[in-house]
Amino acid sequence: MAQESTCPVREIRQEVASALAQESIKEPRARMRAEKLLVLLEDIAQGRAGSEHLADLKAVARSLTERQDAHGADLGQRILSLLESQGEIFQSHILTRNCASGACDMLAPAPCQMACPSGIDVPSYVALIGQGRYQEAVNLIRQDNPFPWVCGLVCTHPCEFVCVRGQVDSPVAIKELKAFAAEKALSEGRYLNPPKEPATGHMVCVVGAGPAGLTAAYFLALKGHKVTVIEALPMAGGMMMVGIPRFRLPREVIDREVAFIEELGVEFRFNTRLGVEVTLQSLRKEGFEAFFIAVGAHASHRLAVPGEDLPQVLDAVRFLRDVAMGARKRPGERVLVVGGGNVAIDAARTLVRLGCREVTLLYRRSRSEMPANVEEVRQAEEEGVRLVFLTIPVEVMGEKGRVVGLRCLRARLSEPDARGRRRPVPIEGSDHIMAADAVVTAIGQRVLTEGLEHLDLRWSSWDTIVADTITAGAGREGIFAGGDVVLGPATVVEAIGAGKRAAEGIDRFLKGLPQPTMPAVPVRRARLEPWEMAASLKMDLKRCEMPLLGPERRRITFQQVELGLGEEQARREAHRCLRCDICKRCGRCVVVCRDRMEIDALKLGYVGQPGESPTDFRMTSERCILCGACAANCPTGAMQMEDRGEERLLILGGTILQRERLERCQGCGDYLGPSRYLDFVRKRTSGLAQAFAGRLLCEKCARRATAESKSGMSVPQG
Amino acid sequence: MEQQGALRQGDRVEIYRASGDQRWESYMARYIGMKGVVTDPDVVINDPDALVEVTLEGTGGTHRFPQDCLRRLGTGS
Amino acid sequence: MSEYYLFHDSSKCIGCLSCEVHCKENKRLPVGPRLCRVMTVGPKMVGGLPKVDFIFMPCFHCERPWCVAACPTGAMQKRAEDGIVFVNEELCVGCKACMRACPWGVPQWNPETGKAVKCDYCKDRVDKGLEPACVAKCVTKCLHFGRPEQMVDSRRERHAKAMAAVGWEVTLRQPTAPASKPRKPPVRKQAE
Repeated sequence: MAQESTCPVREIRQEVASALAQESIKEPRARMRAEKLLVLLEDIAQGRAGSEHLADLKAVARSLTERQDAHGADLGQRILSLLESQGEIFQSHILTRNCASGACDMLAPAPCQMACPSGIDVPSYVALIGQGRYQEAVNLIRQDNPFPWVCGLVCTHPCEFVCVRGQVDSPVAIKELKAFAAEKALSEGRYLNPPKEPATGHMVCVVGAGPAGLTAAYFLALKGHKVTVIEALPMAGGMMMVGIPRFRLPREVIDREVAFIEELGVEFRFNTRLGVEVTLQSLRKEGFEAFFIAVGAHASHRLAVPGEDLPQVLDAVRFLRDVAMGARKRPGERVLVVGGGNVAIDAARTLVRLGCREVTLLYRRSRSEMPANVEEVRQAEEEGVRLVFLTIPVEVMGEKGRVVGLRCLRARLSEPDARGRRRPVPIEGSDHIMAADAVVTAIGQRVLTEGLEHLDLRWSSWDTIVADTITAGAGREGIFAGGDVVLGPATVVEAIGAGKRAAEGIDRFLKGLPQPTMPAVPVRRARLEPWEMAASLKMDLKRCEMPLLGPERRRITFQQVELGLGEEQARREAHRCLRCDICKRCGRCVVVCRDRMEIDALKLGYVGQPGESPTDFRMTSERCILCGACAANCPTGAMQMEDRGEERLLILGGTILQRERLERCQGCGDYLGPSRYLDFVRKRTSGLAQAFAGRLLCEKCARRATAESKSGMSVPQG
Repeated sequence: MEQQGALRQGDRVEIYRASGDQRWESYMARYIGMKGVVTDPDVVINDPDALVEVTLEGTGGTHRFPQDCLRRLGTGS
Repeated sequence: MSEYYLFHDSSKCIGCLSCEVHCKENKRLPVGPRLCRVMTVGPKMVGGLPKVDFIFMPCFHCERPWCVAACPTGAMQKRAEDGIVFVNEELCVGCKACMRACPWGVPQWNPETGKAVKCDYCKDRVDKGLEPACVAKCVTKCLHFGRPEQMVDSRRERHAKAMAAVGWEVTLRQPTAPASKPRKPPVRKQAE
């Protein structure tokens, strides 16, 4: 997947290099400075730069503008204005070792890391798991995301959608690996919080102890600020706790991970609702200088049909919250759930576990249009949830103030409208009543705006706060917002990402630093040695299957459905990773081998466009002569050729593509090359006389033999 | 390129224009022309106003976009 | 063969390696590759005294070069106009076939570029009318470069022709008796 995008660092580096090569900078001192610039830019592009580099670059560029050399002065000026306009890109090269354009070979990011809303260095932690270093893997994750276990269980894993291994067979089970490492790390000991920066004396108030608020609190505490989290509920976790049912996310997982955040000195005030127990003014009086509003979206959309106010009509958000808080009474025997999203599925599966005899989910559209996660729909059906599609509820039927059924219409899908949407159209005369003694509605959530009016913020027409998603700034001095309250109902990992960005925005606000104008580029945390394994093994490793609790047991308990991977399974899964943090999939090796050497040994389909050609690491050994041209042309060192003992190996990101025994020099016994390679050369030179009577000599011995024959004496060895 | 129904997880989409939605931010302009995968569709009711999570190919990252700037290129398998 | 000769007067050579140093300097080479080599032969006792021979080994620019034949990408080329054998860096992919094929170990590996590099008589200099770097900077002036027709000394010419033309047959003979070695040519003024 060759990224064809430009990078200002690389471009200006090339300009300086060509100016030097063409000797267009004449004045000696200007030239010297240009050479210095080249070294600095080279360091930045290669990821070797330190914190001083940017200042140095600026200083040298400025001094270049002052020299009497038109071309040099012009270059210096160009660099200065680049630093002005695109300083953030230079920063990300230095601070995060990541060139988002991928143009800087050594800093090309892995797609999974770029896809992660919280920016976790996926290849590095997966590699650590592959080496059995679970504690380190978790510590690395927690540099970007304080909830490795939660995410390991419930993340929507956008990373896996772009996983390059998915082009070979199926994506690496990144989410499952995260859960495994977190569980393992906790069972062996504890998480290790990153070191805290010295106290700043600033006070920040986070409103809402959900994933966004807790993540912001974590990062702000690490930056040395004093953080207090206020939370309306009596416990931390937000929707993770009261929206996601326990059979997907056990409570102790949240509790454990929150405890490590608390350990950083974050203070919690539960049962405290903004606008009720406290107000912005009262908090400001307490000394809080910055606020992060992360209250989530805990209100429900209504069906807007007659009979909705009957007591047995529950909204899913409240129903799930009550169950999470310990209410385990089933709402009825026959329950209908209205909706097609993940919340509807969660509610239906919860109803089954509460012992409802019959749980039916109604959805207005067809199965293929259901937004819920396919895997979870399947699990729900295994547990006995019945799905009914193309059905629109029109009235809740009640008798004596109790629900007795739901009057519905059947629907068909309309032709696509201007926006390509196919709307469910009720079919005339298809009225029918579905018997039920309770109804749970899950047709969407919105932000509960009560208590937030006094903040005087801008609200969108959808009742979400209008805030900058890069800095979380909500347009008022010291007030920031993020998570579901800004995005509308979204995912845990997006909320975590929002909290992380907010912490950065708040920190800059408190320190009076300028705010970024572009989304931050994720930080590369490491460049670990790849795990070595034979190509055939690498190909044979199939994606792990998550063992699940049996459906019979799932129907009657809230026990976790996913049983977790075993250690052997997890390590094997980690070894499936293609290490896209090292190999940037530029395809240069394939081109060199196929078009220049005309050997065509490398079958690496995944370096091209998806689906263009197949990938098979095992094929390499059929034709590869171990000439090393691919390795010599690999810009990132992902392709390595090395002589080890009696063998020469070709290794791509740990995958051993080819290995052959080495022939020896008949003069000194040094290793020469594998016979395939020697034959390749011999064949090409077969039309010429044989040197040294056909003896195989290394370069040293050849030179010596020649010198000896010219002089008539013997050359001393060595 | 005719869309068929609501955007679903796994659909390939293109950010083909800026959106008029007030939740479209200026930095998003850099993503116009990029392609990606819907990783979290609008969560519940196929609401044309809901933001949709798209993971852009290559190195674009994951963002929530208003739906009127998205064009479907193909469905997820 | 190239149309040039590069004659090394081993009787004047002191093995100071100036030639090697300036060769690398001219090509801006990193540690590792040595495009021309001064090989020390000996010491052996001659008339009761230890004697050391220095043999200068640049590229012979063979008539039918192994390296050119071996090169799969067309990077290794022989110039039609003067027979100089050189590497076109653009085309080289670093497969080292030339290094394997050359009987004298002339092509070298440049670890910085990941490509082969070899003596090309400093063709950039030669094309400007200068001498190769090794010759220009030889401390004892034991290296001579030019076209054979510029030669005045017939024996030197013979030698040069032999060196240039027969390259490997000459050098691959069984070790010869010292007597048949080219002797030090009489010092003469070059005809202007």
